Amino acid sequence: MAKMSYNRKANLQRIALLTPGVLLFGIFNFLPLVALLGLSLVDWPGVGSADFVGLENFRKLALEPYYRDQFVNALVQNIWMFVLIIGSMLLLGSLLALLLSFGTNGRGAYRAIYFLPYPLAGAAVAFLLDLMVQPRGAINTFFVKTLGWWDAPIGFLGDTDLALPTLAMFYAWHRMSFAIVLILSAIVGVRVILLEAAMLDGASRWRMLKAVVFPVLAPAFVLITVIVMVDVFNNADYTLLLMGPEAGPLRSTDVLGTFLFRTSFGGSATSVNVNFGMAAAIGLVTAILILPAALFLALKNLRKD
Amino acid sequence: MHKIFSLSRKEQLAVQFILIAWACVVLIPLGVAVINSFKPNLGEVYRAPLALPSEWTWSNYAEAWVGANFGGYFLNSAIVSLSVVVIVCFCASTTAFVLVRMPFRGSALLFACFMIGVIIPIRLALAPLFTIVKGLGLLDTLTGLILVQSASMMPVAVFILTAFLKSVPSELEDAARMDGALPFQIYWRVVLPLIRPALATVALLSFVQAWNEYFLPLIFLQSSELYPLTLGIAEFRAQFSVQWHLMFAGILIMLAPTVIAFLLASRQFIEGLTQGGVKE
Amino acid sequence: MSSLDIKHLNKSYGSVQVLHDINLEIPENAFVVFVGPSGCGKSTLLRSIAGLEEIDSGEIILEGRDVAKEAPVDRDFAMVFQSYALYPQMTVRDNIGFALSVAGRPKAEIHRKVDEVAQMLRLTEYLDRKPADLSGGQRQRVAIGRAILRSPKAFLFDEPLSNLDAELRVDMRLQIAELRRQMSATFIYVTHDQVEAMTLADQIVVLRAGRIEQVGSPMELYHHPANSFVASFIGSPKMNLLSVADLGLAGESAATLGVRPEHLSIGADGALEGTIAAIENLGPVSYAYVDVRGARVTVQLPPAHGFALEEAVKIGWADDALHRFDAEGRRI
Repeated sequence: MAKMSYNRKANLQRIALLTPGVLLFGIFNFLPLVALLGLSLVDWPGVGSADFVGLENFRKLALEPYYRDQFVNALVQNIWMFVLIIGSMLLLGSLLALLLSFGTNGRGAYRAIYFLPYPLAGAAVAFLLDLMVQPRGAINTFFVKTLGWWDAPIGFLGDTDLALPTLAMFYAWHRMSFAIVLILSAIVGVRVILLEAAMLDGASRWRMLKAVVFPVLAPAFVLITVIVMVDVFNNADYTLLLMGPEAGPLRSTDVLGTFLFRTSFGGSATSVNVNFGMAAAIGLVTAILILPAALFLALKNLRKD
Repeated sequence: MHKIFSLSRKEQLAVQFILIAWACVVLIPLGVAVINSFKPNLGEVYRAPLALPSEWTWSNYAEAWVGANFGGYFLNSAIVSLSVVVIVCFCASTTAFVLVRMPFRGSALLFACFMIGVIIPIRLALAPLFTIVKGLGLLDTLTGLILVQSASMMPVAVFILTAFLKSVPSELEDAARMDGALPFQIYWRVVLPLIRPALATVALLSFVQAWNEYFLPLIFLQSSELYPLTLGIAEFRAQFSVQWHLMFAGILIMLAPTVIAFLLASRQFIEGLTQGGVKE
Repeated sequence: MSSLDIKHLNKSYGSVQVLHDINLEIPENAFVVFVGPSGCGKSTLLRSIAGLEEIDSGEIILEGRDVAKEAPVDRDFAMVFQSYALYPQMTVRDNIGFALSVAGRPKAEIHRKVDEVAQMLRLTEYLDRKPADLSGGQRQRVAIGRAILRSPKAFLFDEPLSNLDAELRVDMRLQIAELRRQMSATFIYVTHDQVEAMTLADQIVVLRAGRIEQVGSPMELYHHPANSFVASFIGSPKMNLLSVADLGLAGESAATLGVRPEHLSIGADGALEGTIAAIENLGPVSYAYVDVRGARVTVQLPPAHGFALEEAVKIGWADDALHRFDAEGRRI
């Protein structure tokens, strides 16, 4: 046999280079995403045979009280949680970033400290902050025993009204530096223009901020909002870790992620009411909910290069 | 620095007050964890959670490491995270190399498929993913977990590496082609050294993500001897939720590697945060 | 028989055609320079010849066989890139020896050949350094060394001197000319600098907008430009192109007259009247820029000329120094 030409060898090697990545991503990421479409049309507890039911899962989700009530409850609470998180991140994040952009003493140290929670695992953050807010934890001890401001300890995570906001604050504590970094880099990026404009018309600092800094914050705000939104609507780690799949107390911390988890694997070992088809339908609906935001993000990133 | 950014004495005071306040919010939980993890007994933790230990001791760490099997969990986390880093760096760089430098009919479509992975989080496809892993007999194995976690990092890694590769001129690779180097040789001897900065970002990002991942191990592991730290600590809490001094020690054991990684490479970290911000 | 024959070569990027029906014969061991303004397709043509770009249609015939579909290495050309394209993590020795090491040749042979090439290019003392530790000229020599090592049938140069400063550029130009005398191989050289083209080439190929405007020796191009584009591109300062209509030159059939600054005379009599707007004294020569009815004409002056700014002068020429072009710019 003749020696293989360069082009032939190059072609074979190209295929060989492409194969591992494509197989890995294809089997364990792309295929499941595509399979959502098919799986959402069947009724299947995960073992045994699957029954084709058409759009029945979606109908149940919209109309049947058992699913509808859970879905609506999870969705509303998910939105509430998102609003709390994004509100605190944008407000506090902007304030802190703005203060850091001035000639503040110790800026480097503050930035390093603020960034510290970012690389921590969600599981560690959840348990750490849980220990802080426990009735016998540091916060209650401080306000009840040390200061004497509170008569009795507050059970943050045991209260149906407080549990969800508390989890939202955990999230904000963990991810605040993300907002700070993005907003700060937007402010720093405008610095030269700001300087020149300030020199030219000698405007007051507040007017400068309003005229020059705030407009450039808009893109950073949008980016933070979109990223946090995609995350909060699919990632229910805090609830799962601290409240379990039943999202107690009384499902007051239930979000779409926990609802999806419960539907796939049940709330406890004895659950019988599990349905992979329904889980796929919930996943698909959630995907459609966050798709506009996610698409926006992807297009923005693609335009960049 | 221009005077518009400099602060008067009074302003500096107000600004410092706010900045210190948030620094306290960040540092106090971590500080409380540190001091309480060195306390000799549980009573002291409950009695005075904000006080320093009466006597500093490492015994909680030893107890968590051996007694609560954090040593084993730590090893599993290390195996999973390091494998994910190696697999993601290799697979994403070869994929990005072919997509950018040796495009073919359909390569744009393939790239679009990867971008779908960036857009739609894999968690939403929990049910089909579980079915596939189970069908391959990889349920409750570290191999299965490693593959799933690696695949979940692929879209972002491919995205970062293709963007980087597009930004560097291809003359080096052209020169290697002129000299008769085949794609394997070009990849290994020319491209890999070239993309090292972006690869470092990808490695860091996938290490931290893999180390911190809770959800995927929760779904795909059942045997506690395979648990990574994220599951191990949840397991520990479920059994001994009152043993706060051990919990604190365990939490700190778990935080150590990513905090060290952050301290060693804070610059790449922040870069990765803005580049990889596509997916959290 | 020619060593390289390009027939009906077409190339486009997406919907934009960058090379239109290129036909070109390159004689064996010739030094051919592709020259033209940026974006004219000269680099693309070179890269197509190298095999780095796939062409849409056409043939590239090397010693009787069509290599248009063959890989770069099978065409047996070596290329020197504008950025030098040295591998930053390898030493100079490994850079020069890369092609042989890729081909899996024995270490001793690579070592010996690299030493020979380094000797020739005066690089011996730098062999263990990394490219980052070299000057621009040294990097360029390493890039050339890498090309020489393979003793290819042809050397392809893609604007190799454009990253060097003016002084070094002259020096490297002479080195390339010397290299050419030592090697028996075809040289194809891309540049936008007409001085490099004039000094190095046996044959210049002028390109514009993906088409060949003219092929010829430097002197042919200088004396007989095929059109007004080539006329103004070759020669420095540029040839004056005078619009017959604007200047009201009676009895001319051509639309444009071309005349080089060195062929114009200035003084008390001549066909055109104008005022001197600027004078540049360069030492061996001087140039006067004369405004004539809204047009600016460049005239070469003798070293000691005695003209002054704002002076009214007349410009004249000998009829045999004129180039006549029609309305489309073609030579008449």
